[in-house]
Amino acid sequence: MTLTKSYLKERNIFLFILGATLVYLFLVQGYPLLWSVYISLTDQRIGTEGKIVGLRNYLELFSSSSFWGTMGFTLIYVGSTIVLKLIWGMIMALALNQPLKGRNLYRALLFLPWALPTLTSVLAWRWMLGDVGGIVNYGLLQLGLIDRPLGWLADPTLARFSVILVNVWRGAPFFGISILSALQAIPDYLYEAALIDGASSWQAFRRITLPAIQNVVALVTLVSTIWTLADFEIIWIMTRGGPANATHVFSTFSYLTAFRNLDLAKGVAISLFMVPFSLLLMIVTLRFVFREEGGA
Amino acid sequence: MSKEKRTSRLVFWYVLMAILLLFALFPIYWMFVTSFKPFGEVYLLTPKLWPGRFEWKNYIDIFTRYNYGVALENSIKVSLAVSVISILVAIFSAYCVIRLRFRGRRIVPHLILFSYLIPRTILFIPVYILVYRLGLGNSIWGLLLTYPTITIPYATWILITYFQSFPFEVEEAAWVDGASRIQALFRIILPISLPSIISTFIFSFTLCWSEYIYALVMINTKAQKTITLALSDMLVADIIPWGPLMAGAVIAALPAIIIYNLASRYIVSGLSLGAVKG
Repeated sequence: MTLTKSYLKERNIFLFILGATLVYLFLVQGYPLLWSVYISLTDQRIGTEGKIVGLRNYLELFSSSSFWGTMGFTLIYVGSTIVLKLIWGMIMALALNQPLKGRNLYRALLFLPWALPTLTSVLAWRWMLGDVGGIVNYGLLQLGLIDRPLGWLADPTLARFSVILVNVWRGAPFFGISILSALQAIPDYLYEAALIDGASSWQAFRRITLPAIQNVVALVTLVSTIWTLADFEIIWIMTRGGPANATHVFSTFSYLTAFRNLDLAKGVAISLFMVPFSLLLMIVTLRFVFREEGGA
Repeated sequence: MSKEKRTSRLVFWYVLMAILLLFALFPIYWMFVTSFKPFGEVYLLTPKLWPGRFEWKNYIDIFTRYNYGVALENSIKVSLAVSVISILVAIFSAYCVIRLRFRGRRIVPHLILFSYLIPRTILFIPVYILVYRLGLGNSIWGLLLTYPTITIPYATWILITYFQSFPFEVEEAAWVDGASRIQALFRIILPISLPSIISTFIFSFTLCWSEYIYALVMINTKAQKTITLALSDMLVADIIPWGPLMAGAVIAALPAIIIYNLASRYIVSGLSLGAVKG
């Protein structure tokens, strides 16, 4: 009797901690998200209480070319980095899956760009890509690939290329290592059987490798898309969204509007444009993860 | 497959691996090398791939001239406190989900994963307003309030997936011997789970350690800044002090590098969410 009682009491302690955690997460994540819809309908600036102005912030954004430019580059940024990370990560995984000497060391080394705090490595990239004294320009000049120093961060097109490059550099290992773990789960006898049956390596790749890794690839792509869409540090540290707004994504444009132009409400409105895409991707991810679990 | 063909194939993969390694490691190499270069060498128009002379001066400068010590202390404080709280909360929460029957049990993992995935750049402005209204603006207390939203969902999610495959018979054996749930949790389950818990703790630490945008909007005072802020502040100078900046970056990167190499096996399985199946 007392035993049951104390078990029930303990059970309540556990459930209380879980409940408190969920309430906390709601207050600092869910509530701000809902609240931001309201803020976006006001004219709140830093240091003032706002009053409701309806859809004015949204209408102003729709008639602003920098907003459409931001939306355009966000699409380019997410689309191109995801494809490139997937390709580069796939190459990485296939290379790490070969019987090379020292492959455990290579694995750890190739993972470093993902492991480093983003801010520190982005600083290093900014230093490397500088037009004066930057090692990238120097190296390319020495190799004869360019005949004058290029403004990797100063020219709008090159700056777009640069931030995409750095995002791929940092994110590809996440794809690579995840795909590698799926590759290593494929039993060797499948390939041996295919070899005996006279299959080419391309056929073996298509019929054995791809089906075995497709779930991991789908999941990693989903998660990476959510995070890339919301990426901030790489662009803010490298270009501040410039030159001439060429590299703004929603997050940097939102930060600039809210904290440099002090227009909090409009900044919130900008960041809310990420929500439909993010929510959709998150729901798909959740369904994917829990479907897998149910089927196991 | 003939022997030549096999050899040439292997050569192909070695060359490819060399390219992969060069691309991945050069920026990190350059960060290290720059951090040890004397001032005059950093800004040479023909940069040296290897310093003519190694100097610790940049490492001394970043502490004496750029106040990095305070930032380092703040980062350590915040990251440690948040990770300790998060791991404790996560242990209890994950245990509830796996071991207790209650209404809404099935929805909790969904909420946790949702909370883990939601990007901070969607929330940062209302969270900033919230923190200032609570009077926690411009201090590491604001970070202590908000960073657990990053680490608790992560740690709980990882421990849920871990507990899914945990042999809970050992716990029941302890109950038979008269242990309570909490005793069994702390004396039996946690010691067995220590490697997973430590790696989850470590990764939570690095999540706080490298956090940028919340700190950027919440903190202005030098005395409250974290390492990421201290580093990005150095970019505003007319001539960016790349030597000390790279020294600071190396210091900030070192814990992450060491930690990942110690615990990468666990971290990878957690990150890819592939451990869901248990």
